Parts: sequence; structure tokens; C-alpha cells
Amino acid sequence: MSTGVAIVGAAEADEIGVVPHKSSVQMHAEAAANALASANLRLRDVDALFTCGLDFMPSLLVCEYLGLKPRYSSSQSIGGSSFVAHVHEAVLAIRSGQCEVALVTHGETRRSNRKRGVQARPHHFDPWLPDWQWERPYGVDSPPGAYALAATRHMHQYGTTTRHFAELAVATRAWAVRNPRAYRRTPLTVDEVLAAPYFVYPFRPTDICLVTDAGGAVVLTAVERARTLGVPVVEVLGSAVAHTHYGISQMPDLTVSPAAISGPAALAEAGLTPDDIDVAELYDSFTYTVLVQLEDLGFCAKGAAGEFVSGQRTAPGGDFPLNTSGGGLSYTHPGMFGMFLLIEAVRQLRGECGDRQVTGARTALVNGIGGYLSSSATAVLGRT
Amino acid sequence: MLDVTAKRLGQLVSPSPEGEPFWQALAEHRLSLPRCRACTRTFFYPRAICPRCGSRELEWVTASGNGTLYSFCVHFRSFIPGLADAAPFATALVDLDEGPRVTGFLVGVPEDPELIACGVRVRAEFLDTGDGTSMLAFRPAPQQPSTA
Repeated sequence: MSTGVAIVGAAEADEIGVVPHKSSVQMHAEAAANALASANLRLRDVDALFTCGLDFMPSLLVCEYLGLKPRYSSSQSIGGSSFVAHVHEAVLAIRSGQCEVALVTHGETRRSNRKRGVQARPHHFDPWLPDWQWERPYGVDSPPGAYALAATRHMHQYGTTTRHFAELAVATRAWAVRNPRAYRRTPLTVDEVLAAPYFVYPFRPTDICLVTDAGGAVVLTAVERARTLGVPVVEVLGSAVAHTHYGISQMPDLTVSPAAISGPAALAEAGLTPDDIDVAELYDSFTYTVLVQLEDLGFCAKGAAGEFVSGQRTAPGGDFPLNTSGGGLSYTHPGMFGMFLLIEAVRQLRGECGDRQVTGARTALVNGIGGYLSSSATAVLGRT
Repeated sequence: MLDVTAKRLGQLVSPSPEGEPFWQALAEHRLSLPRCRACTRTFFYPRAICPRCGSRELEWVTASGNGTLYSFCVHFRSFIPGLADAAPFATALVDLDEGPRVTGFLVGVPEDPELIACGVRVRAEFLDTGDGTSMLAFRPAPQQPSTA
């Protein structure tokens, strides 16, 4: 089954990693141009734009910069999963005739912004807001503490260990070694990981994503039009979005993410099961984030993800190719990562991944997680 | 043992209009929770509407202060003003006997986080910041003889 919509272009900005000489909007523009080129389309073909993470009115800003007056736009902002949610929205907009060619862009220069004293994202520091009032005074004002609370509960309930987290960090690094654009490319061992002190228990530094500068974009259009473009057609077979809370203290069950809702919905629309997926790109803000998604998406039973990733099963040459770009842990992570999950999945299905290509990949599952395990967006993609 | 000195942490507390009664009670060393008159559910955090049934008929009740440690994390570094010097310290999520889950500091636990266990019974404590506000903390309750 298919939604009838395809991703026809996907690309990063010209440079990613540490890019102090480029602005965040510039990253959007470079990525947009590169993604459109990979789709054999031009900027003037675009009639819908989706973006977030930039100023207060993101789609207005990006459209102005690119010279676009779109028929449809959205700045849906649900954290790092947003760009996968934009794909879901673009599918709905294209299917309902609101637009024909949708461009999704992302660009953040979080790493270099710090050196300029610039706040990378619009935080409205109102101390009356719930998370500011009920969580921050006790030390939880950013993702590491929140995700650590979830990880600790999972460890208690299911016997998951920090060695399991290390297995995932090491396997992800092994993929990054094969990606020339990855930020960290020095091989890592489980013993090295476990020798490091905790940053926030149960996380060591290698359990936590990078902070980089990066931009990315994808282009979508109806499958019918996609077939006329002369590029590989990667269909969106199914997509779904879910969220269950905002702050971590409001999460109904710390061991179950909203991927347990969006995953089965997207797979059902695609008419596929987890066994049918050739390559998985799962949000890795933290090592633990990946483990809970593996369970919630149905790749293994609840509580079994630690065992699932053991023995370097998800590394190159293992039997479960996972986060083949090197992920947010080792490749890039400019504050939100969903866009880069999409780009890597499309490249795998187009067969463009060189040393890290998963042989014969025909289906991919992309899952973005946003906020404090708050939101989840799933896209099931297939090369047809 | 991990502990928290709350002096100078008052700067982190800025009660919203909905949260004011909670913080006021806390300063008097009472743990006060909002309850819905319509569905009788006690909930947290305080808000203008019951998140379960949508009723706006709300009241405040005093909780026992007893609960179970649902989860925790230990911060070896913090960038929050006032808390940066407090590290290492621990954050607790506690399921109160009245139902709601609340956030607080976790005190009186070993410095080695691997020796801290979720699921233990805890009791609320009130840490005075020195400027009229108090913060919530939880300490493992003395072990009860097993009746099983």
C-alpha cells in the first residue's frame, strides 16, 4: 500500500558539523537547493513549505528568504520529530489537493551560535510555564535529565543496563566511521564507553547526542508526478504522528513512548510489519531513546531492547542495520534530528550510501521523537 | 549520602497563579494537591481545569507525604543557576499514595547511583530556601518490618 506521495529529493546543506561562517537560514537555503537538485525540480515548482526551529514565524522567514509565496505552509513544532511530522502533513496536503510540490527544510547553527552568544531557538522563558515551575527547580530543564529519568525506570523495570546503552553507542559510531560527513569518526569500544564517568546518571557522554551546525531538506510530490522526474521514487507507504505529554513528569508511563501509537498506525497504513523493514532510522537523542523505540515500534518485545542491541547486532555487518548515518550520536545533531533520519533513509533506498549502503534495501522505517519523549512521528518508506 | 542545600534556590521558584496555593502550603511544610470535585481525582500539576474530566470545580487537599520512588536521575553537572554548585544531586519522580506523580529532590540516598533503587517507599521533606519559599524533597522511609 502507499499514500500516493513520494519523497523525490533529500539533501544536507553544503557543509555540516562546525560551520561558524554560515547563518541558520543559509543552511535552509543550501539544503533546499541541494534537495531540489536531487529531485530534478526547481524552486519555482515548490508550492508548499514546511519548517520549524527558526525564529517565531519560521515558514514566513524561510519562504521570504527563498522567494516563495506558497499555497500552503506549516510551522508545526513538536520537537525533533517535527520534520517527520511535516512529511505526514505534506502527504495530507498533497493528497487533498492543497499543493503539488512540498519542500521541508531545516537549519540550525546551535554549535556556533553559542560562541556568538545567540540563543539557537526561541525559548519564551516565562517562569509561570509548567515545566519551568514544576521540573526546572529540581534540576530538570533540558533533555539529558528528563531522558535519564525515563532510562532509569526502564532499567529498573526490565533489567536494561548501561552496557546495553554502550552497545548502541559503539554500533552507531561504527556506522559514522563509514560516513564522510559524520562529526565523530573514531571507532569506539564498549569498554572505553563504560570507563567514562557519568554526566547525568545513567548517561555517560557517549549516550548523549552531539551539538552541531547543520541543515537539511526533503521534497515531496505525488507518485504520478514523481515518475516523470527521472529520479528514484521513494514512496511514503505510511505515516502517523502522536504525542502524549510535554514535560517528563507528565509522561503516562516512562517506559512507553508515543512511538507505540504512531508506529503501528504508520505500519498499518503501509500494510507492513516490522519484519518487512530493511533499514531503520530511529531518533537517537540518547542511546536510550533508540531502545524504547525498538520496543514501541515492534522490532522487539517490551523490555527486550537491551538484549536486542547486544553483540553489536545493529553495527555494519550485523543483522539489523540501524542509524546507518552514524545518527545524532556520531554524525550530526543541530538541536533537532528528524530531518537527518529522513535524508539517510531516502539515500539508503536510492542506493546512494557508498561504504555504508545496506545491500538491497527496499523498505525503511523512520521514527522521530520530540520534546521529552513527548511526540513521535513515523514514516514508512519504500522504493517502488 | 546525596543531599541538597536549598539556601539560595528560592530564585528558581516563581509560582504561577494556578500554582500559588501549592507553594504557599509548601512554605508551611504541607504538601497540598489539587482535586477535582466532579470526578474526585487528585492530580498534579495544579491547573485551571481537571485534565481528566474537564471540570473547573476544583479544591485543594493535604497529602500524606508518603509515596513510592518511581524514578530518579543523578546530576553530576548542572547549568541551572543555584544548582550548578549543588552537583552531585538527584531528582526524583514520586508516585504519591494519593495518586499523582510529583517531582522533587531525592535526598538521603547513596552517592553511587547504582545503589539507589526505584520502587522504595519515600517520605516528603520540605527544604527551606531562606527567602520564604520551600522546595520539595523525598527521603527513603525507614524500612518497615515485613508483614508477609
